[in-house]
Amino acid sequence: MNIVAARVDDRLIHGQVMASWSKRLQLKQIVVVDDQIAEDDFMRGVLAMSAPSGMKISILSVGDAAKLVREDSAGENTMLLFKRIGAALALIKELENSGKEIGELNLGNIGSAPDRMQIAKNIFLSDDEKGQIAMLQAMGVNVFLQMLYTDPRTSVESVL
Amino acid sequence: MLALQALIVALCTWFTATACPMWLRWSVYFGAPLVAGLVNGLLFGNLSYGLAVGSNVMLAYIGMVAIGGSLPSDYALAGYLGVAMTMLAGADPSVGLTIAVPLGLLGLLSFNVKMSLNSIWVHKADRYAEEGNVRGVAMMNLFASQIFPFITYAIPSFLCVLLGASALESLMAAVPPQVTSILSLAGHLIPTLGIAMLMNVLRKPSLIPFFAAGFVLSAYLQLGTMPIAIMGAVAGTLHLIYTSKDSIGALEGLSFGAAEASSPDDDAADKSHKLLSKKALRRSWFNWQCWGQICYNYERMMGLGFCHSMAPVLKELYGADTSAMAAGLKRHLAYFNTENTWGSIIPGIMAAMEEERANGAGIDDDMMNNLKTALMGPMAGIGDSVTQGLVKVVLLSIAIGLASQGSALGPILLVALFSIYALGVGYFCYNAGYRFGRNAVTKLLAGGLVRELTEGLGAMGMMVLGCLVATVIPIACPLTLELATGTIEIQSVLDTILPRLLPLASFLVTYRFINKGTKPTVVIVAIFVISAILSPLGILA
Repeated sequence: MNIVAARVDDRLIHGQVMASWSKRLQLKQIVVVDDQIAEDDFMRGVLAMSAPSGMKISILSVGDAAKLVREDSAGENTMLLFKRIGAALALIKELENSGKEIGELNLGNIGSAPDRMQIAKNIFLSDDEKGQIAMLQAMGVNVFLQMLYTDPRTSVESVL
Repeated sequence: MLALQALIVALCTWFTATACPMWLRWSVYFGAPLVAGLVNGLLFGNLSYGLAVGSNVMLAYIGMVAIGGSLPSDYALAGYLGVAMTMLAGADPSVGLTIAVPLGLLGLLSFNVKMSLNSIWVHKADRYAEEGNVRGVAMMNLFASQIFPFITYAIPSFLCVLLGASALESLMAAVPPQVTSILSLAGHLIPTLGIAMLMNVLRKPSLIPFFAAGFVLSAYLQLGTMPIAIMGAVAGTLHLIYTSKDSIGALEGLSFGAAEASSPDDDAADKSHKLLSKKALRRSWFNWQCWGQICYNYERMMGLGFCHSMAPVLKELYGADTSAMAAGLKRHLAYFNTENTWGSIIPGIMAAMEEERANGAGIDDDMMNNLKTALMGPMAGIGDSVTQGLVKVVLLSIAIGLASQGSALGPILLVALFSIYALGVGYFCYNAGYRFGRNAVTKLLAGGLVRELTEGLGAMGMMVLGCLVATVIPIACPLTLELATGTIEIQSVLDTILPRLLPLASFLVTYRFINKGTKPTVVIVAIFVISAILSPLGILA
């Protein structure tokens, strides 16, 4: 697969948001990476059915996703989509030194929660998540904020 | 007199920006310029002028979609204030955009201030929730939420009309005619942007022929928007019948059969079993569709509105039990954001889960919250595509068509039809959610209804778009060639090739840039620059 984007969006496949990204990036495939959702039949069904037509959707655990990234030799434009930063960190760690490293992570939308603080209009992070971002950066991953394709990219350093 | 008019404009701007019921927002906010044309036309005693300005300004905004809580421009200020200022300045309707667009962009400030500061009331509502105080939560949602919007929308609009009208009028009078014709040309070209953005949403190879059909019907036969919309509806239905493998099966998926729902009679026999009354459910639905978004803010988005919609349900289930009430209010104050029409299915599902929980089912806060967050994306996906991408386009196109011919029926139909749609779909979805719980979502999606709707309405929308390209971009080439045999008008030569060739060409150029990802604001600036070059040279007018 040809990974053209890795994105954290807690609304996952959010209709028009995803439609605009998938048109611009000419996506053929979306891989949702989340251990919990991968085991939830109901959510798997909802996600598969709410995808834009003609889009291939896989919903995988971190381990299975890492395996797929390593082994899939087809050149389809793919977006890796995460609900949680933690899952992105876990996958990126698994892929270290595999020749299939992920160099960038887009924070699209992370909603508020009791332990999260607001750092940008639509990004709220807990202390744990800030730590995970620091680990990603230490691994050389460029973490940036961008909700819609037409929005400017903002580096995460400038808001943390 | 002006003070009174300023007050009415200010109140309209504030009301549509934040205070109006959510189901009414679709028409009076997203169709703000058009409705403002009617309201301001009546207010300033010149209805046809108002409608002309309104339909001109509306064209720039027809294609803009607000997704995920981000707005490209504030419609209330661009609409109500923009149309009022244009009328007070006595400017030509095609200059209206030049006045409305900057106001709409400034309006994003009003929007952002409200979106940031409104979280204060959510935090206050958190405290009321701790006490199990439903009234307090509702007060925060309904009234406190309006304090900042009143300051950021009503007051600036009032001052702008009161103090700015005469200044703008003398400014417009002092503007040399060359500049006015540049602005007017730009005003005529800006609709290409709106239509291009829409095209970008609707575009599918299978739907391109419908666009061509709409364009040709309008350019050659001069058919109006209404007949083309009707033909579009017919074509869309035929398109569905011929392309879907099993359209009847898909429609069957929609029939939420009564047999599958639990029978209320059995439940009522068991006295200890709590069952929500029709009244509580109706109130909950009504609260959602009216006030779900009234305290919109960046921190929790529709969270407070969602909690308000659950209040009648919680009240009936827990009544005097303050601690259960408090827990219920708190769990529904979490972050929530979805499309408000199709998304009504989620409060419906939550009402059913609350009922089960009150009857002792093993449901905890996490399960409810996870389901809410899991569904808000997919439901917004359906809602944004169908409501904003399709229904809005078709209704706005018909309304603009009527209003630009000077008929007040345009904005009136827009408000009536869009409200019926929003309330109808919302009511259906809420009840489906309540009756079938989370399976309602699977049924809705698996039934293929949404895909069918998208495809059928998409065909209709593309036909209307084709018609719009041919009608709402009134540009022509005034050049003439002096030959020995006589004068040749370039425009009549162009007309023999293809009527409305220039509007089509300008639309295609704009679309190319939008499709490549050029930002709308860049395109707007480019349109003004191009107008400033082509208009004085006499190439386009």
